[in-house]
Amino acid sequence: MNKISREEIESALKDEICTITGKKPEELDADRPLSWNGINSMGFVELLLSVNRLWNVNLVDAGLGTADVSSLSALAERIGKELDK
Amino acid sequence: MFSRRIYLDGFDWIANLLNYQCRLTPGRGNHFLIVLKSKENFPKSALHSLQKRLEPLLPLLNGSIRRHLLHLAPYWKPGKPEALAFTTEHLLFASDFPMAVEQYANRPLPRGQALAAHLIFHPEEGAALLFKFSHLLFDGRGAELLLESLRKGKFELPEEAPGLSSPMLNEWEKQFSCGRQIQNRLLEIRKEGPTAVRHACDTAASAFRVLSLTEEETDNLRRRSDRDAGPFMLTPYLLALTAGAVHHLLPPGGEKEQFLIPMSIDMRGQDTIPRDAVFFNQWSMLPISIRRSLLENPAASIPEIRKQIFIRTGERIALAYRAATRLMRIAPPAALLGIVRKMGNSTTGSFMFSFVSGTSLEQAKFAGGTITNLYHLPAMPPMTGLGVFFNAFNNRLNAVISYRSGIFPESDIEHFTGELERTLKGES
Repeated sequence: MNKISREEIESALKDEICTITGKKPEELDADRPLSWNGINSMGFVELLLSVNRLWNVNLVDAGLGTADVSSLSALAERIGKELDK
Repeated sequence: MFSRRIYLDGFDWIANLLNYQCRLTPGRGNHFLIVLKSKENFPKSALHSLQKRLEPLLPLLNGSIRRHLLHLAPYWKPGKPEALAFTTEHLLFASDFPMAVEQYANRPLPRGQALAAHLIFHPEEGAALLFKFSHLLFDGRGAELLLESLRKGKFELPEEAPGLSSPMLNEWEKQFSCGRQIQNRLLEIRKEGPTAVRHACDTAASAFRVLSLTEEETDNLRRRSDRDAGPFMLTPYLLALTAGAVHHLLPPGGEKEQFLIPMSIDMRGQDTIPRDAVFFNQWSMLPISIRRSLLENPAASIPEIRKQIFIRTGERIALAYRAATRLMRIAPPAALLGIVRKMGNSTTGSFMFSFVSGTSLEQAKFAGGTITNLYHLPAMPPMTGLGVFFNAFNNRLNAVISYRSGIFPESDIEHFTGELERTLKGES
């Protein structure tokens, strides 16, 4: 399987967040917290389901910490690590 | 007013069913309040201007439900532009505040209007502006969106009429398939064990307890939620704590007894529902079931609740509820109520629950006052007579316990409120 770059993961995450929140890509900031990017409790559930669908990564039971969701790029980094396993 | 008919969706018909269920209660309908608290009084001129801003909306607010003569699909017929009821009350004692709010919550909406307002003032306690909404035309988020547009200026009616543009007497296959999905889920729940439930008397009044955490207490709660349930998992965390407290409120059940919680969620932005939809019922349900034995230690139920939220969201059960309930519109509310009673506890649930993590009011300034807190007071229908509703405003969490009087002894409710408060504050 081809290795997916962090940038590709981040870009796909942005697309998903736009679908979930109705925001435009230019309104998102990858270095800001997910909540700043419009994600709430139920939106996060949708986002993790998208992660599972896109990369077959189950983050629900992976023991996510607050650092993993401190920004969109931090979440992309965590997904990348799961894919590298 | 609009060039086309405003057809009602399945959840508007559920609201109509709940409205019918509440017809013998003092409020004579299914209403909810939004309470805006302010330290200072709201200036009369600002309140007058608020009423003026609502004028374009009056025909819609004075509307009623009708059925199409040929295909019988229900629709909303705008009425006459009659002015809204706006009343005021000055309190002598600050301690009368909760009772005054509760009394207003139990007052019927005048002449079938879908909105009314009431101002309560006490020189030391400050003011509370109460907006009473009929669930026939509004849900909680829509009501906040209306208040936000009133805050900004005159309410502009959308060019496109709200509600469904067609009676949706098509897509039968989809509606029946969603109906089967819901039916199968309810059968699974029934197989898992009996559902604990308490129904109130048809004439019982609404009663409320409001818990408001400070900013510091809310921060601590969020930290505990991040630690015990994971980031962004405040919903399952609050549901686990609430279910734990309800478990102690109800008498012990059998080994297999469970709670069924129809968690309400906002559906704006999903399917074809506009994100800014103000009118009608744009919500749905995620049914969560928890074995009561698991609630001896509420923290132990968090993974189970979290898992169910993911499964139900993944299988799009909330969308299935919206499609399936369209089939119910043919039945009159009285007949539907009979069916619900016959089907038993697995259709009504043990208690209602929701958590709204944000508010649609973009600024804390409203009608000339500085809003220090905002919360919703939804009246529970006699079946199910208990609900716990959370919302966040200004970084503070509110928990509203809504119940029908007489469903539990007041001392039990007092104990339950105290237990929930201690749990939310991390004191137990």
